[in-house]
Amino acid sequence: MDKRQITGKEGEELAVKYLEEQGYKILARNYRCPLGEIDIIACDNEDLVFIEVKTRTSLKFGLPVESITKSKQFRIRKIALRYLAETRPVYNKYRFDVVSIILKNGKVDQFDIIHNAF
Amino acid sequence: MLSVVKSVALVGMEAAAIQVEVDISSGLPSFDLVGLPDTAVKESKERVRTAIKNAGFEFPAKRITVNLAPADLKKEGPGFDLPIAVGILACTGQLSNDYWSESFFVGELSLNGDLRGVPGVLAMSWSLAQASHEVVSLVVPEENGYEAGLIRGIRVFPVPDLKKLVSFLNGSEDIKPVNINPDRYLGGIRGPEVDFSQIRGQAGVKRGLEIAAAGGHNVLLIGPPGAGKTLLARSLNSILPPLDREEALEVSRIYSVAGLLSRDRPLITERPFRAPHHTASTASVIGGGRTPKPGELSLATHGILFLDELPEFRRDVLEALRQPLEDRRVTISRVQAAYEYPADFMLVATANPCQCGFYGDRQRECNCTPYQIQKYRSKLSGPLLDRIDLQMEVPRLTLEELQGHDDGEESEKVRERVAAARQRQWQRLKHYGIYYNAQIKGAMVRKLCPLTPEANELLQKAFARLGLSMRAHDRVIKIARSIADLAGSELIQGAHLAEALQYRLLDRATG
Repeated sequence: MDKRQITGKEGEELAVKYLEEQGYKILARNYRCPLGEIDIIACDNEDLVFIEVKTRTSLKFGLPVESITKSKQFRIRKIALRYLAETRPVYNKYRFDVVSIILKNGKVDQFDIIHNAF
Repeated sequence: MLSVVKSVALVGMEAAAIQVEVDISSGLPSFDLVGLPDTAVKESKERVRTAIKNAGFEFPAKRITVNLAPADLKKEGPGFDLPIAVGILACTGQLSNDYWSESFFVGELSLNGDLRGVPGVLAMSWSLAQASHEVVSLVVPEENGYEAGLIRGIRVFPVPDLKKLVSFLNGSEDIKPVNINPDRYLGGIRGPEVDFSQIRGQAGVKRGLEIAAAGGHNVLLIGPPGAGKTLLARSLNSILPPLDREEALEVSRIYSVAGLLSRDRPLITERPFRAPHHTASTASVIGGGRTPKPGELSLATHGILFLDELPEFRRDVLEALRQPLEDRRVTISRVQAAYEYPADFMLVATANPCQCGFYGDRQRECNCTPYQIQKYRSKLSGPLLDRIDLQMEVPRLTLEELQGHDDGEESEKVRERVAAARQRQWQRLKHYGIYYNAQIKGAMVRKLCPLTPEANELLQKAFARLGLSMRAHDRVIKIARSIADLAGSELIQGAHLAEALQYRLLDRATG
């Protein structure tokens, strides 16, 4: 694994820990299909939540959330549909959350979660 | 969080209040702009984002929604950059109090946070001052401060950049409202003009121009090439009295809307002299565009619209002049709204008597066929010629006249007489809200221009002989009125009317 992958992995671990504390039930991690990957799929009360985690160690290229572009949102949606078709879970509502983490010297500098982001 | 910033948009010459609503909520960073923005307004997103960042403030990575209300009015131009930026700064708590909510904001942002001037600010500030009973505040780019500050009854704050504006709104820096007395610019040095004394001979035409200047009448000069028609027309501005304050402000408002005012020239102080080329399109002369801008007619308000070589102009352009010549306003209709601009000008036109230019010349023979002459003249329609009060022949000068030492009067002396005549007219006409004889309309002619019995008899004879139209009849009386005013006579005498009749050259030719 290269440095970026380690950063990403670290962020995802942090996110999972936080979500579990918040009462989310993690259903899947790194759900993969030919279209791509969804970092975390969890359920929050009645909702099925698809979560994208973005971790950055510097703001040189903007905030983590700024990397979730329109096309990325579109791709995540497609993968979500694929997941729904595959597993046919029974939920009333679905939503997409984004977790944004800024790491500095290996420590969490900023941790944000945007509910129902797109 | 929501903030509402006041701004202004122009609809024709009038300002419409616009509410710029900015909402910032949590979500993925996005920036949406709604409320019928045109391309320049849509692009303000990028300018606002960069300007806020580069001015040293924080641009929120949140979900920003901007609405320009009322949503059914088309918004155009870059003037909304500033109110949008102020709304974002207010929403994110970067303004420490809410003084901003009391002012109107207009201005374009550059990427480094400097404010750039926008067109129409003088018209906006005038319109805002007219519309509200209390004194309102208007924040404008520094460049526009000079024009906006000419208006009384409004506090105008000129701001150089976003940083200064924020420290001003937060109270840490003081910006003084500009208030410029228009009189400071008025009565200054007149620009280089052709002086009457520089023109040799042509005493008759000069007299005609003096009458035209006195009453604001339209003029057509007909003569062979090289007789001095263009020079005479250009000298007309030098015998007109200078613009007064109200006129200067009205002219400047039109120039402001057209984007022709600058920092160095915030007030138009000289009478406009607009000379569009004869290839000009209807839209450029009358005014036009998707959201109509004032055309040459309106830019010539309180001044002269000079159409050199009148028959060469496109037919549709000339015919489009008819209605504004009568109403002294021009209305341009679009699906969304009708735009009205002033068009209160003196029309001065020149033409050759025929295609080769020598018909009726004393020395050179005209080689046009009667058909060619007829064709050339038919380019000018009767209804248009009817609206030109004074039609004069400009003969070619003889060698003696050309080399003679008879320099004639200087413009200044003529201008004094013209000014005195206009003063007399104004005394008589001020109750009717008009300034000079050419503005008298229809039924008012009989009331305001009393004829002596002798003059009346002459007019009746002429009317029958020349077959004058009703409009020409009224116009002859109005010219006679101006002649009488120049002579200082309250009643129109026979001699005045006789002189007026001789300026209907084309009526005489066909009559």
